Amino acid sequence: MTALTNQPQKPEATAGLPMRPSLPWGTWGVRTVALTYLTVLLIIPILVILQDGLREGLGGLWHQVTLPIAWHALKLTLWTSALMTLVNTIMGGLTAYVLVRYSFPWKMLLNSLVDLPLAIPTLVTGLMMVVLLGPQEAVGSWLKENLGLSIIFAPPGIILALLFITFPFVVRAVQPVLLNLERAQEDAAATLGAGGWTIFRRITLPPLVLPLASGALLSFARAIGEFGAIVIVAGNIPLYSQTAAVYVLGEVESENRLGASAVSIVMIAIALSLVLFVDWLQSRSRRSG
Amino acid sequence: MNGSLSVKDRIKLSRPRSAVGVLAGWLLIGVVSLYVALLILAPIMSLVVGAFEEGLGGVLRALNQPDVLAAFWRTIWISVLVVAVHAVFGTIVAWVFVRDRFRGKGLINGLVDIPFAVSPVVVGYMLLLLFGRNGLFAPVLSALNIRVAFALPGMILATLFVTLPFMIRELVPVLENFGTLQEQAAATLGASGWLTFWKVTFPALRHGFIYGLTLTFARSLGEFGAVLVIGGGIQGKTETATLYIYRALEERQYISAYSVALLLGLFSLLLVMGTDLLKKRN
Amino acid sequence: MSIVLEQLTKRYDGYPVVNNVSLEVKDGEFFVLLGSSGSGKSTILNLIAGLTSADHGQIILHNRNVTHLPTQKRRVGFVFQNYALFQYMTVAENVEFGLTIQKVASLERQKRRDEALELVGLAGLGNRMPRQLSGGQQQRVALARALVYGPDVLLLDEPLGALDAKIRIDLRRNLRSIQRQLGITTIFVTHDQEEAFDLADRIGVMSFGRLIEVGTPEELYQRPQTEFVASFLGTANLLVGNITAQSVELGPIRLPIPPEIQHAGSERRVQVLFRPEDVALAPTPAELNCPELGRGEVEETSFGGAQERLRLRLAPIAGVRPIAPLPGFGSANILVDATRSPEQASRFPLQLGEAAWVGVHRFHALVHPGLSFLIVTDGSLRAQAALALGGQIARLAHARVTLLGVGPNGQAMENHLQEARKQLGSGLAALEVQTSNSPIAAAVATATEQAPYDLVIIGLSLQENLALAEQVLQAGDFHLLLVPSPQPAPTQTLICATSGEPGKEDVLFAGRLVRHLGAEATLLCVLPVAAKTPGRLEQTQRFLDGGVQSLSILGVPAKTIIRNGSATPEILDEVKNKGYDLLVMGAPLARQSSEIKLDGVVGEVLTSLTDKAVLIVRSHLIQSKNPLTQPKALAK
Repeated sequence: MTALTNQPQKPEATAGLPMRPSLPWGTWGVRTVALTYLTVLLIIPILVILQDGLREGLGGLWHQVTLPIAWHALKLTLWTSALMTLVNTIMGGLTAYVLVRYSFPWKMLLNSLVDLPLAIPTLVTGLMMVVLLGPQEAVGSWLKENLGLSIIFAPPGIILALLFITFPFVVRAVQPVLLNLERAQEDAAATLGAGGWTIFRRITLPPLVLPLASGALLSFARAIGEFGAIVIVAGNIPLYSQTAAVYVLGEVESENRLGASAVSIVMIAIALSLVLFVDWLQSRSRRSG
Repeated sequence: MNGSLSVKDRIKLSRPRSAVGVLAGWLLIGVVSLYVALLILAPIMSLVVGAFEEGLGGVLRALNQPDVLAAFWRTIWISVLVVAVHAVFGTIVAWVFVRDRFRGKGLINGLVDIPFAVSPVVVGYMLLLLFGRNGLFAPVLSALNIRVAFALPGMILATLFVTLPFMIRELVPVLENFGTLQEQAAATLGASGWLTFWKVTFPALRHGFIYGLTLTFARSLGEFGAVLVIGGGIQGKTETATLYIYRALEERQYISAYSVALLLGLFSLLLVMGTDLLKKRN
Repeated sequence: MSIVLEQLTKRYDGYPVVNNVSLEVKDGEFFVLLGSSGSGKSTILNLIAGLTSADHGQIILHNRNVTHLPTQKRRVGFVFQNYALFQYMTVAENVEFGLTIQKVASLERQKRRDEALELVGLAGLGNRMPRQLSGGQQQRVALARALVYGPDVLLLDEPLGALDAKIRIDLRRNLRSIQRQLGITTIFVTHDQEEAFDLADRIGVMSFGRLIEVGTPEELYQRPQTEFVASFLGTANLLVGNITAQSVELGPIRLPIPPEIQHAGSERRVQVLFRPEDVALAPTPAELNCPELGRGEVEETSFGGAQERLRLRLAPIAGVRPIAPLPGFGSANILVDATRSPEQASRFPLQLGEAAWVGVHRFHALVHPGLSFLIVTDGSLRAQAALALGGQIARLAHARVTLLGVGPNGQAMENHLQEARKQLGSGLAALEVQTSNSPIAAAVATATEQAPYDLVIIGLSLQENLALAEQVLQAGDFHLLLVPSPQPAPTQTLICATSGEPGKEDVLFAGRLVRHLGAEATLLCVLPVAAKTPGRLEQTQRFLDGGVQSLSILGVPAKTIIRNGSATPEILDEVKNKGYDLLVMGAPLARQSSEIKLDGVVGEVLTSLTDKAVLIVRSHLIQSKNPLTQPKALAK
């Protein structure tokens, strides 16, 4: 009956008819101010870097990106971020679950610890990691001598710093959804004889997939661009522990504009597509929920 | 966003569980607690210990250097300005996102989150391309004798870019939630647009507004990559607190670096936790 | 007059949520707008308050045309369903808000605020915050806030809708006495019939954006003008019969013409309405003491507190069609709903399955029966399109619909009709289903012999089947709507007044239909290039202007176009280049001959259009008794 779906919107919606909001200086004035602000602050800088990086065309950009040091930096950034995202998704999801579904004496403390990384400057985060695990420090040297593990000034340090910084994202994306989830559905499944694991897999998990995904993607996006913590933790050894952001800084300082712009564009492209995708995911979940 | 439970939920939590279920529950709690303790608590503690290696005196001595004080003042000055700009324009943008309709709004709405994901180094570099020695605006700027790159204006711009989403993302849901009903009621009572905004709408946004301001402020305090690139970290001129830490590390003045980092971290922490409390009380 | 609305129209996404509403509310009157959700009643309040702007029409408050004034300047007191109290102000600040804006001095302000809180029974609660009050108290604050600054009119948008039953009744009484005390002109919007009856001086009933009928509660209940209002308010027994100069006839049963009906004309269809309390039940016809309908069997009983409710099943009466209560599928029995007082019930106790004689104490006759549509379906895709569009027009026009399934009887047809019933379902005045396995034209002919129809709707492409259209037109006395493909309800109508003679009637019937759709109309005339004489042009323009005027009386916005050239290509060009979605043409029907031919310009145009709905107006209907095209009915 496709013909019926063509009918104009039933006037049920009239209760919420769009009332013209009474804006202080009229809709147009406010809109112009807002758009100008966003254009100056956001769009012009991005356009400029695009123009700069594409000066020698896509081929030139590609050449700069595939120079061995740049290429390695990008690869390192991507794989450390991906590995971090995997761990963060699992641990963040578990943390949210524990915080919502269990009650234990230090729950409030745990809950406020989750927000700490948001408040601490990332440079300070990097510093903390070095103080704890650096090769000259107690824990770090013990690990190095007994397990042969070097964390700081090596890729594992990058992952650890990123885990710290992005820890709140997954937890805070999952927690509200889990809180709103009707316990009654799980109870209903239990009365129908479903076991704990079945309930989790069939009832609890499906609505959490979207928030888990958007939390994970946000972590990943944030990790790709991270600089403050990494520049201190990673040691920045080209072809070993130098990430893309640090590489860009090096190229800027050595005045290789083309190289800096090319890698920047790649990073912006990744960030942009991730952010827009998460935005789409979230608007979808809002609509269906 | 908090983990507090209603009475009803608490009653549910006290339901009978099997012995295995209880064990698995405590195992989960243990794993998560250990993870958080090792990942977050341990580094923080080690920083505190590191800073106090020479006792409280060492920390105070480290903080009481002219360079450090100047860097802190510079940081606060930049942050206050950034907060002021976002307070006005962020509110306007949030308003437009919620109340206005035009083509392309969805896309622009998505773009606002970009500063969240774009590397601060890239942000600083973009501004260099605009305002640097060979930048797009270089001729204009040199004609007017204005310095933006390697000076405070550039650092303010960089911080503005980086902190753009916070105010908007705090206000949009509050504004959406508030709806237009009370504004309509004010209109039927004869109130003009401005009056309605100040007397009716703004009081409802107040808490979101304050929270947005604090987040912006905290983020501004801790900004590093972008101000490093555009500001250059010139000692005594464009050095902020984070840039000072960086320099202190390179010069191997560890106690200084740790102390400033501790103070900076503590400061942002108190800010965010304070507004968190404020939010929970309402 | 305190509130005057003139031809108010508001469209939303092209769909008229308020459709040509005109209304006058007297000074000090308590007027209730009653309608189901989505009928447009709240939108009318928003229009009066200026919270949304009208697309067409005027709003006059106390002789002040406020149509283009902003809300702030209209001086209306508005009470919202969800209170809309300012959450961050105290009760006192809320109430004083309007006075603050008028810059009333502080002392005076406090005095008036206290008076207002006293009036709504909340004296002493001024320091509370809104969220510390109960729902009923919050709504009292909202009322005080709306009244305190002395608005010209008071508008209440389902103010009691969110409250508990008991509080609702308390606040209702309170509201009514406050309104009387202040004498403020009030419009109150609700979907609750009981509330409307309890409060109103007059009620306006709304449906699908149109103000169907206005009257006192008693008038609307006892003597409604329309079938919609008759069945919307309370329980109704509705039967279709005939009225003659002497009596109202239900088959062989003769009833005296009720005194309020002025009818001296010839015989015509009429709907007979009687309420459950007007039904008499007795063991013998003699004991009824009123005209009898027949002997019925008790099918349902229920205890309703102060009264006993019964439903009785009567044998079919020849020539009488029941509309409400609707008989079961495939049944011709007549159902009658009755109520009795406990005293009556104890005098003549009735159990399920027992029989009783059924009579009518008092009844009312609806002389203007609504439109009646026949939708023909054979289960094909085109038929689906006809069903969708026909159903939608029928809903908007409150038409009764008969669904005629044509084709081999069988499970497939059964399923299809079941599905179609569901699809047409709600919002129709009545829906009846028939089947036939004769060819379409013959099936239509049989159906129209049994009952007259104003409009027949068929999913048909003329390009392929002009002959079939001709045959159908020949089958009876109706207009024909052809739907070749699925399309939404028309918003732009092109009326071709080209073919000269039938012009005027095309315009009028199209106007009747388009009015219900809330669509706009364009009148087109094509002049031969040869006839470029100035006189001819002026004459044509005058003719078209007359059409526009007739349409505007009906509330249809219209414009005119005159084109020069050869008729067929000019019309096709106009249709193709602009976004018309309904084409109206007059059928050039020979008056004497029964042979109908769609030839000439009409045939040429019709066979060239593949995807537009076409309404073929039977021009000679002006001569018949059909109320659709009678000028008197139009003027109403």
